[in-house]
Amino acid sequence: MTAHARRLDPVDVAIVGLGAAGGIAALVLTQAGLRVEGIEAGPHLGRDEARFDELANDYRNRLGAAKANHEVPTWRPDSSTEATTSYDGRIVSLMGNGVGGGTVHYAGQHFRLAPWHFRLRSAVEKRYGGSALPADCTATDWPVSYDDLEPYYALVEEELGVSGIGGVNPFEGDRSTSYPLEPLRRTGWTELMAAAARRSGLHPFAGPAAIRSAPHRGLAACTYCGFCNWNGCHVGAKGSTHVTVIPRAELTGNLTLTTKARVVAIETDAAGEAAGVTYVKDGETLFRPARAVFLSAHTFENTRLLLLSRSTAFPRGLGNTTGQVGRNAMSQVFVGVDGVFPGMSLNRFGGTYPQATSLDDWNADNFDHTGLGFVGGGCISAIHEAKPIQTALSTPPSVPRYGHAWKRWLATNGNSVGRLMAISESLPYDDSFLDLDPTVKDPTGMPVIRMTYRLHDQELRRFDFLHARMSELLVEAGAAETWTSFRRLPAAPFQSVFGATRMGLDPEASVVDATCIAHDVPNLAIVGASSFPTSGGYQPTATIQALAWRAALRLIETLR
Amino acid sequence: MAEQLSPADRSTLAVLLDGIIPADEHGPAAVELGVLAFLERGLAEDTPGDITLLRELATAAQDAVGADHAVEELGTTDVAVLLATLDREHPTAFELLRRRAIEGFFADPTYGGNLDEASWRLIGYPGPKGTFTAADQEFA
Repeated sequence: MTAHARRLDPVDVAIVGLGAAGGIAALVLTQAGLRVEGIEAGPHLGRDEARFDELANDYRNRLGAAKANHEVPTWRPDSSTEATTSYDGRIVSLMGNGVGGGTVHYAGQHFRLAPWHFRLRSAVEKRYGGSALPADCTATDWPVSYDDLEPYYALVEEELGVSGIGGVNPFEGDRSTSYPLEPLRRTGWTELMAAAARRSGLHPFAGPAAIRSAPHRGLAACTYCGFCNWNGCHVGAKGSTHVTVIPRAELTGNLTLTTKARVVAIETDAAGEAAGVTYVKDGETLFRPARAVFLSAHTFENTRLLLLSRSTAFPRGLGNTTGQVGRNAMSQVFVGVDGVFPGMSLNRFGGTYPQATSLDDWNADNFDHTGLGFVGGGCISAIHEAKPIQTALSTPPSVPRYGHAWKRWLATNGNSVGRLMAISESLPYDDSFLDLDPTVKDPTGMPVIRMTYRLHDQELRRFDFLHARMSELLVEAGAAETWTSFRRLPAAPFQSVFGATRMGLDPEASVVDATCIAHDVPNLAIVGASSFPTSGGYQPTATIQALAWRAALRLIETLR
Repeated sequence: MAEQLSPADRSTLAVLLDGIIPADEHGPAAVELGVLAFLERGLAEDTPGDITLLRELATAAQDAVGADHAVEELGTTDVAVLLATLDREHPTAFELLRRRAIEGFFADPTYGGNLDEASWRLIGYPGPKGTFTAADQEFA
């Protein structure tokens, strides 16, 4: 136990990190009558603090100022290379800190994974043979199925007020309920791309969004202002947990919110169970005893706190009895292609990123992968929310990147550029892992995470394949020229990071069980994208929240 | 206290910035727009780590024109040649300057680099507003 910590009154559950997962856990646990403290490193931002400010939000990560910006992980492609904090060759899009976590600034695409994503390995081996996955790929089937999570996906969609349309995407899993709200508004751009996709024999649909198309449960609808992704919402129309589930949890009277408090260790007792958390607030070290701990920070912090919570009983850190914490990490791989439609004013400046036409024809195993050299794929979306700096930074390689010709091109074409984005599946490998950097520390003296990761052939081929399909689709829609907006990085783009505390039935090969409870600590839940055995071909938040709901129910059973 | 650019480096970078964002029928060049001032404020506030690369770029530019000349004396064509050289031989530093120039030019005018919303008018961006209507999102 951390020395000199002032002991506080006990609670039933201490939640570490009040983002996507922690917010859901706060709701479920407090509504069950448990007394919960939610501990958050960042501030509690009000809607009035949402600013229309692309520079501060999108390019300086204002929302990560409290913490994330000061603990950027180091990175190296492999174990024989020195890790560096250089940004060169990578996108570094960090999380934000604050009540709501990443859901404050997320784009809000809200996809369930497809049933296939949960059984990638067995399905691939069955269809393509045992050698379809490389020998060093450590992907496993998930210990839960789509059907196991379906009820929780539905509950989350209702709580947040998700907009979408069921039954149109032929590749989605069965749904017990429709979406609570109609899809976000269709536009010239969404319909241009939907028509092109249909002409190509594909199956476009209005992408689901945790952004309200109409008022829902007393919360406002989207005004399509064009400052959504990386920005907080000025009318609270996103599913951000600080405007949806956390206020509902507070209404129970069972939730204590503690902000600007940094958890430094999860403590255990003589029986090897979690005993509470130690955190620092206003310079004071405090110990909050708890009957259970719900760890729901970002993948980097989940991993770091577990590795730093060492004791005699857990000399390698919590959850790490079999040395699995940090293993099987994956980086999310974005594919972006822009196209110019000369003479057309596309008017993509307004609206919101997930106000999109999406398609799953090139996701999961929805197409034949024979001979392609990769498995899985990604969901492609034609998106809105073209902000000015972003627009100026993405010009085709045929045009100079500065000077007279560049300005002329922007004057002619700046409002004629369309963007497709795909979130691509990525897989874990033997040589992909997170650990504590041996030398680099954050300003509080805690070591930062070191990521050892490179894109493998599967990921590179999948990127190129999706890129080619997206380019074709833009040309079919009338684009005169297409180019890469998110380039294929040589190594590790830090977007969402998956794995490192993965779920599994085998304690020798995973950190948590099928309900996200640590194999070696029965009253410790660890939930986030860190739980994922494979990344899935979508934005992860819907699945993180379904897992969080299920984990919270399991803790309630444990504490009963 | 963050470090500042020397007067010589500042004057060299001003020439480079005006080459990256030149004056034309759409508006004035970078310095007049406020982009240099934006860059310097950034060095004092949120991007202090940039200064090493920017100094390196200014020195490279001065070296490229030789001891007998000054970057400030170059004509438009020679500035274009100089920029192409820097882009090729000092890609990281040049890309940083280009990036900061674009950020300043296209950011909200309150940051001081987008005088009279010149960049927004350039690309047809209507500026931030609380609501975009259905008509705003149709093709024009």
